[in-house]
Amino acid sequence: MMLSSRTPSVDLQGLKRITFGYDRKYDVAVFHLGVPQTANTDEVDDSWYLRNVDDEIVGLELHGLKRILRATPAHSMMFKPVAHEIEAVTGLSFDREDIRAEGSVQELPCTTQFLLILIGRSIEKYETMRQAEYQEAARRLLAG
Amino acid sequence: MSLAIDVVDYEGTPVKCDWAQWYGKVIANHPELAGRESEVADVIAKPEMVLQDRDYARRRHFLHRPGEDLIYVDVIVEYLMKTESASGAW
Repeated sequence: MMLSSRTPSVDLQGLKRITFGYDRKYDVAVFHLGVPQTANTDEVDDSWYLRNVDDEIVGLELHGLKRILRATPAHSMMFKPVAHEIEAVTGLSFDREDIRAEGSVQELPCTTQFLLILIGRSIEKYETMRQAEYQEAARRLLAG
Repeated sequence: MSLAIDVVDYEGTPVKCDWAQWYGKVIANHPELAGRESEVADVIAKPEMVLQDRDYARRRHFLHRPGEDLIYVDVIVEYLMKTESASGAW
C-alpha cells in the first residue's frame, strides 16, 4: 500500500456502487467506494486505513476485522446484518472462505450504511490523530 | 513455478508471494501496485524502516519512501514462524 497524509473527504452524492472484500486467512476487510482504484492509504488508527485519491476517500481497510468488531460491541451488532446481506448476495460464508461482493447501494444497503459509519469514524480518528500531532509540534516549538 | 515475490529480507529470511496471492489479494485491492513486484521485493530486501505490527506478532511493516514527498510504500509481511529464530530459514 502507499501511505500519505492528506485531509480526507467523501463524495456522498457520487456514491453509486461499492465493492467489499474479505480475506479470511489474514482477517482483512476492504471496502471500495465504486471499484478498486489506484490510491494512497492513510493509517488513521491502529489497523484502520483510509484510501484516498486527491483528498477524496475511495476506500477503507480494516486489518483484523474480527478483533475490531470484538473491541467495539456497537460495531459488532451493526455488522451482523451486513454479514447476512453479503452472505445472501454472494452465497459465500465468512466462516469458510474469502469473500468478494460488488453491487449498487440499493443492492447492498446495510453494507453501504455500515461503510459510511466506518468512514465517519475514520475521519474522526484522522482528525484526532492530526490534532495530537499538531499539539505535540506546538509543544516542542514552545519548549525549544 | 515462478513467484511474484521471491526475495530474502534484510535479516536473511525468505519472503514469498505467489501470483494467485499477488493478483487475488494484493492487486485486487491495491491496483497502484500493479507491475511493481520488483519494487515491493526491493522494499523487503532493503527497507528504510521496519516496524513490528502492533496487533499481530508475526507481521512486520517494511517501509520505503520512493520519492521526495512523504508518501511511503508499506509492505506488510507475515512470517510463518517466530522471526527471532527464523533467520535464513522458512
